[in-house]
Order: sequence, then C-alpha cells, then structure tokens
Amino acid sequence: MISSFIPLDDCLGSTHTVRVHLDKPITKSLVDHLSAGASLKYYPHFPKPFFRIDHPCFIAQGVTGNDHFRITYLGVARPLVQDAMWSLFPGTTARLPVAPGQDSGVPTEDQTR
Amino acid sequence: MIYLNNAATSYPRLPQVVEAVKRSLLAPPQEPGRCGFEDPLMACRSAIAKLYGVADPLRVLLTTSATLGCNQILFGLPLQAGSHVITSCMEHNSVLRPLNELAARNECSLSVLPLEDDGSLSIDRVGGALRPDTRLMAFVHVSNVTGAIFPVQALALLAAGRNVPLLIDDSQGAGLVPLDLASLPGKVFLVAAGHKALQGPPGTGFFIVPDAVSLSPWITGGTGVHSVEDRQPPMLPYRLEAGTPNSCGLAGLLAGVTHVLETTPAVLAEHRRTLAEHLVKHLPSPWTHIAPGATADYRAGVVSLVHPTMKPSEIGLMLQEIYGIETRWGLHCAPLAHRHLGTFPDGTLRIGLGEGNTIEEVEQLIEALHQSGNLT
Ligand SMILES: Cc1ncc(COP(=O)(O)O)c(C=O)c1O
Repeated sequence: MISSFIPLDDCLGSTHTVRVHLDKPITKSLVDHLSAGASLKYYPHFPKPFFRIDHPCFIAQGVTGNDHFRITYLGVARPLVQDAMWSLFPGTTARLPVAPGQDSGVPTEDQTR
Repeated sequence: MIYLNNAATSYPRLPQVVEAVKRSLLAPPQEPGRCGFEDPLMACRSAIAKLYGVADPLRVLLTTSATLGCNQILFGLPLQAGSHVITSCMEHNSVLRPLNELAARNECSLSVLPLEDDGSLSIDRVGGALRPDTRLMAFVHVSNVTGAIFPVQALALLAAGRNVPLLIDDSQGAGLVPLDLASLPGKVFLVAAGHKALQGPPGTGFFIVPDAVSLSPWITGGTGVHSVEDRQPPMLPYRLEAGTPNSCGLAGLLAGVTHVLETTPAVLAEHRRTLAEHLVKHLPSPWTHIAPGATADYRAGVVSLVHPTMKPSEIGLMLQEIYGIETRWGLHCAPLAHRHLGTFPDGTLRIGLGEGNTIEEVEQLIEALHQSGNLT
C-alpha cells in the first residue's frame, strides 16, 4: 500500500515528480507487478538493482530494497496517474499532490494543509 | 552519503557553526536595540566587511537570503519608469525575477546579454549595450550553473565611467573568489547568500551598499531603536534592516566567515579546484561538461555535466538511490543560462564540490557516472 506521496521540487516546469512512499520495501515481484502493461528496464548489476518502468501515463524509477520510488508525469495526466496508483496499490487512500495552479477538481485534504 | 550539492548549500555543517547557533539560542536574547546588550550582529558585519575590504561595517546589511538583498537593492534604487538595465543570461532568478517584475511594471527595460562562444562575458558587448538611459548593470560574479567567473573589475570600471551603479551577485563567489570592494570604482552594490561557501546556516545572507543614501527602504518596520520616528530611521543599518533579525543564524554565519578568513579563500578555492579538475580530467565517456569560460577556472568547484541521451533528473536519481551520492539536477534557478547553453529544459547534472569533499569521493562519483551513464 502507498503510505504517502511527497512532491519533489525539480524546477522543471510541466512535468511533476513525486516520491511514492510504501509501507514495505520494494521487491522484484513488486517491480514486475508495477510493470504489467508497461515497459520495464531492470539493471540488477548495480550495487542496488535499479528499475525504470515506462507506463503509458508515468515513468517510475527506483531501486529494490527501498521503501520508496519516484514517479514523473505530465501535469495533465494527474487523474490517470492517480487511478493507476490506486489500482496498482489497492487500499491506498493517499492522493497525488496538486501542483500550484493545477485544479484538482475536488478539494483534498492535502490542499487544505 | 556523498554530498556533492555544495553550490546549493554547504554540508556537512562546520562544528563551530553548529556550536555558534546553539550558543546563540541558549544565551539570553540579544537582538540589537531590543534588550540593552551590545549589538551582537556587529561582529558579523565586521567579519563580512573584512572579507570584502569594506572599511565601514555598517555598510554591510544582514538579511535572510541573497534574494532579499537583491530585492532591497532593485526596488530601493531610483529606477524610474523607462530606465534601462543591463544584465546577463547567466543570472539567478533572485536577480532575474525582480528585474522582470520591474519590467512588467514598466519601470525598466532589460538588455540580457549572451556569453561569447568561449563562455566568457565580453566587456565590449556590455559597453555596446550601454545607453544614455542605462541606470543599472547587474551581473553575477560566479555562475551557479557553470562556475564561470565574470570580470568584475572591468565591469566596475565600465559602469563607473558612465556613472551607472553596478550590482554584483556574489552568492557563489563569496569566500572563494576574492573581491576587494575598496578597489572597485563607482557605485557598487554586492549581494550574497550565507549558506554556501561562507558556511552559514540557511536563512542567512547580506548585501553591501556604497553609502547610506542610495537606496530607499524597501521593507519598513520595527528596528528596536528610534521608535519615535514615524518612518524608517535614516541611518544604517536601521534604514535597510527592519524586523527582528535571524540572530542565531547570523551567529552561525559569523562563525563561518571567521573560518573563511582564517583558512583564506585561496586555500578553500584551491581544494575545490583540485577536486573539480580531477573530475573533469577523468570524466567517463559519454559524459561531457560545460567549461566555466575560456580560462577554465574551477575555483568555485561547480561542474555541470551533460549526458547525450539520459536526462539529468534520471541520472541524479540513480546516483542518489543507488550510490547515495547527492547532486543537483535541473535548471538551478537560472533558466536563461540553460537556454543559452542549449541545456533547456532538462538542465544539467550539477556537481557542487565543497570543503568536506575528498578525492576518494570524486573517484566514487566518476565510477558511478561511468556505470549509470553506460546502461545497455
Ligand atoms: C548565483 C546565485 N544567486 C543567488 C542565489 C540565491 O540565494 P538565496 O537562496 O540566499 O536567495 C543563489 C543560490 O542558489 C545563487 O547561486
């Protein structure tokens, strides 16, 4: 399950980068689960195995063993990415952060903090 | 962790800086004028004045950031509607955004000068951009993107010859590339951040003014003294410093500047230069770096790297997550620099070498760049 989404300040404009925190460390089988219907590049030879998943609406990158990974997506794809995260991690209630100037549709708890 | 983001903020903190902040917080409050103690910020002003060869420490105004200093200078100068300002494509947003704000309010028009092909700033080009209505020249001393060092002496001569004030953003050069303000002709304003090579805590910075009257107060409010006056007191530092200061942060900045004065900028810069040159010399293929101008002067320890196919953000993440190496990717708050260098919109992977870094760490970075930059 996803415990939180932390927006990362990457000063790059239209793309959004968010760190996804999980309630347990990432395993290779989770990487495989995440990459269903997407393209996976997996580099086991690094000191920590690195993965990159090119999903139709986001790119996920990280290393196995960590309890977090990074997703990057275009601001306009936020609703799609939100749905994808909820379906990939059932039981998740955390919402993707809303970037300044981006209309979330519904006011969320994150916005009011 | 191998920390290579010193161009953003110096880390690890010097023990004496940590100690000074702690001591300041534990001591009874000593904000100037507010409790009857001797002004504890005076020592900080004096140390900074010494670093820049400024005789009167009251010309050193303490702030919470270089950005705040830039805003005080740019909004405090008499830049009437229609004034012309010359600046460069290498400026940080702390200069560019207030200038753009002024331009949007129709208070000035901007000439943003490019660099020459060899990465240098041409004094001839700056001279050619001067107009009868030019009221300010604003230039960075050391670029936070490439580490390029601008010819401040020549800029000051040019500006003084036309009676135009000069603003120098010394955020990256402070404590590394000496500037003797006493030797610069004309009206020179200087601004710098405290949390970089000067080793101060974040939330510290300063600006230096040529006299007490050139700037109008941009922020007005409490000073703890002269409370009977209904406007900002006319004398320095009160004229240009309102609000309770970050005295514990500035105590830390004093410890940092004292360390720089004792160690000397030459020694501190030499360490960074050695590390940067080692990195550049052994940079693995297919990486390239953006040379800091024609003289390849690496005193600031800033090396901006480019990979032909991988984005800086991707490599930066790999360095962080796989190797525990902290760098900085992106535009570094200097979008025009990246447009000029052809690295917009992804920016570069910036290596900011610092006092605490070692050759062994640079070796580890080189190996990590090799591995992560050659995915098959
Ligand atoms: C060249 C330059 N100018 C200005 C700044 C802004 O400093 P501050 O964050 O203290 O406003 C920086 C910091 O990154 C910088 O590198």
